[in-house]
Parts: sequence; C-alpha cells; structure tokens
Amino acid sequence: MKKTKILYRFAGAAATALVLSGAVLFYLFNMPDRNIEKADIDYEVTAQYLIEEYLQDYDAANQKYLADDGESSIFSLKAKLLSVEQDFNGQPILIIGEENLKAAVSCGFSSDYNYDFNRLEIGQSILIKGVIEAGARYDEDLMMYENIQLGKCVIL
Amino acid sequence: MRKILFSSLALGGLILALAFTPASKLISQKTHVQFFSSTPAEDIEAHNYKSLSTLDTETGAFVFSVPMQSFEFDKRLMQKHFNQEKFLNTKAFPKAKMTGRLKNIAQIDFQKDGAYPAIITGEMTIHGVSQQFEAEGEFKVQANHIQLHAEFPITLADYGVAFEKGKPAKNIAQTVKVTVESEYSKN
Repeated sequence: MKKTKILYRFAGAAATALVLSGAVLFYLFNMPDRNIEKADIDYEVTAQYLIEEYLQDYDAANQKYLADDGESSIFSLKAKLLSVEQDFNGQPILIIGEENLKAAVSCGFSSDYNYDFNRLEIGQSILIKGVIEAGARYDEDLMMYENIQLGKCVIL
Repeated sequence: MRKILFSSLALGGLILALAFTPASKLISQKTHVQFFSSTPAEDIEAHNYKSLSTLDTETGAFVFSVPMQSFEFDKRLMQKHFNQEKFLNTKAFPKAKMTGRLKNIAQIDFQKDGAYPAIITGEMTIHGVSQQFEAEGEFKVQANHIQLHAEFPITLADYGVAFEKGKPAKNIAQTVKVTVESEYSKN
C-alpha cells in the first residue's frame, strides 16, 4: 500500500514536470514578437545626441546599447524629419537627424505598422520609438558615413 | 517657407556629397540580404533590408555592409539564438561586409539596357573573420536602374562560427544559402 502510494506520487510528479516542460518549450518555440509599442523605453534622447555618441566612440556605444541576444535598447529619439525613403520591400524608411551632422538615423517599420506617412512633412520635428540595430560610423570601404539603424519603429 | 528651406539644405547636402563622389559610384539602400538554412529539424530563413551598398560602374568595385541585428526571423527564439555570443555574437561583430570587384566588368555595359551575368569576387567578413569568395550573379539594367541578384553558399565554420551541441547547432545547417539583391539608381 505504502509502495503504491509512493509510486503514484512519483508518477504524478513526473507527469507534472513533463507537462510544465512541454508548456515552457511550447512558449519558447512560439514566443510572441517583441512588442515595441508597449515596451518600456530605455533611453529618451535626441537623434543628435545618439549620433554624436556613436561618432565619438563606436565600440563603446555598441557595448552600451546592443544586447547579446539582439534584443537591444529601445530608444525614443527626437529629431527633424530629413527625408522619406523606401526599402527594397517598398516599406517606408524615415531618415531623421539634423542637417549639419555627418550621419543620420534610418527608421524602419514593421510591415503591419498602420500609419499614414503622407501626413509627414520634411523638416518637421518628430518623435520616434524603436530598437537600435546598428550604430553610425565612417566606413573606409564604403567611403561614407553609415546611419544608425532603428528597427520596429513607431511614431509617437 | 520652412519646407523650402529644409528642401534647399537637403538638396545642397546632396549636391556636396555628389561633388565628392565619382559619377560612376552608385549608392543603394534598397537592398535585401537573405539567408536560408535547411536541416531535418527545420527550414530557417532570415531577411535583412537594411544593408548599404556601393557599386562603381567603371571599375566594378562594390561593397555591401550588413547590420547583423537587422536580420528578421519568423521565430523570435531563433533570432535570439542567431545573435547570441556562442553563435554569431552580433554584439561584438555588429556588421558583416562584402568587398570586391566584378571579375567580368568588361562584359557588363551599365549604360545599355539588358541582363548581364556577373562574376563577383572579393572578401567576405563575418563574425570578425575574413575569407575570399567568388560567386555568380546577374545585373539587370533598365533605364535609370540597375538591379543585382546573386546567390552563393556560406559555410559558417569558415568564419569561426562554432557548432556546439544543442540549439542553434542542430537547427541551423553548417552551410547556408545567401541571396543578395540590390537596386541602384543612376543619376
């Protein structure tokens, strides 16, 4: 009787562990995308501040802002809208910054982001939230400055 | 009035940039870099639309700079694995780069509409490791636009990417297929 009780308890514990493991694995495998719109902002600065920080020390800025798993810092950047471009997929890219700087910030949007980009005017002040994906620096091979890349952006 | 001022300043900046840029050097931000991996466990593909490329239509010299954390995956967990320190370590090596020349530049007329096979040769740097590479591609010239399409395999171990046991080792192939596309506009 005692042995049976122990066996039942062991089987119960094993089954519980199995179900929990399965649930964890299922969640990990189907982890929802990072919701940038709802996520907390890590840094609220001007685009100029971030550009100048990168141009001053690219490696230090990467160490500070990039994450090991690619889920890097979320910024709210205040800047001027310099131009509206399109990527290879026809998705809008906003170039923001200041005219006198050597580099700018390229802001990319998810394909399901719903916003009327025609409302925007070149030169207007704009506040954009997004994830940093790459920093700005002069590239010797390109022979030009590369912009900061901000992804999964939303316009605030 | 402000709109005219900003547009003028932007135009001025562009003119200055062009003044210091050879007329034959084209710049593209309309790029697509894709990698595709197939294993018994699963097929994985990732897309990157944020690379920057230059192409000199006279010398055939080209550059692709690829921000590694801009690769997008269907599964968030795979994206985390891809970037992590024990795989591509994108925090330490945030950019991959291809530099090289068109080996058969003499057979490509960027001024005449048409499709031109291209042999691309040069150096690829991934994960801080550089290797020579050669690949075949095609340029399509149409009016003011030049499109590039190239596909080639990359063996990740050649670039110091370790395949230890567990994920992502068993879910990513040792050799992946890379597709590079770019659109350049002639001024």
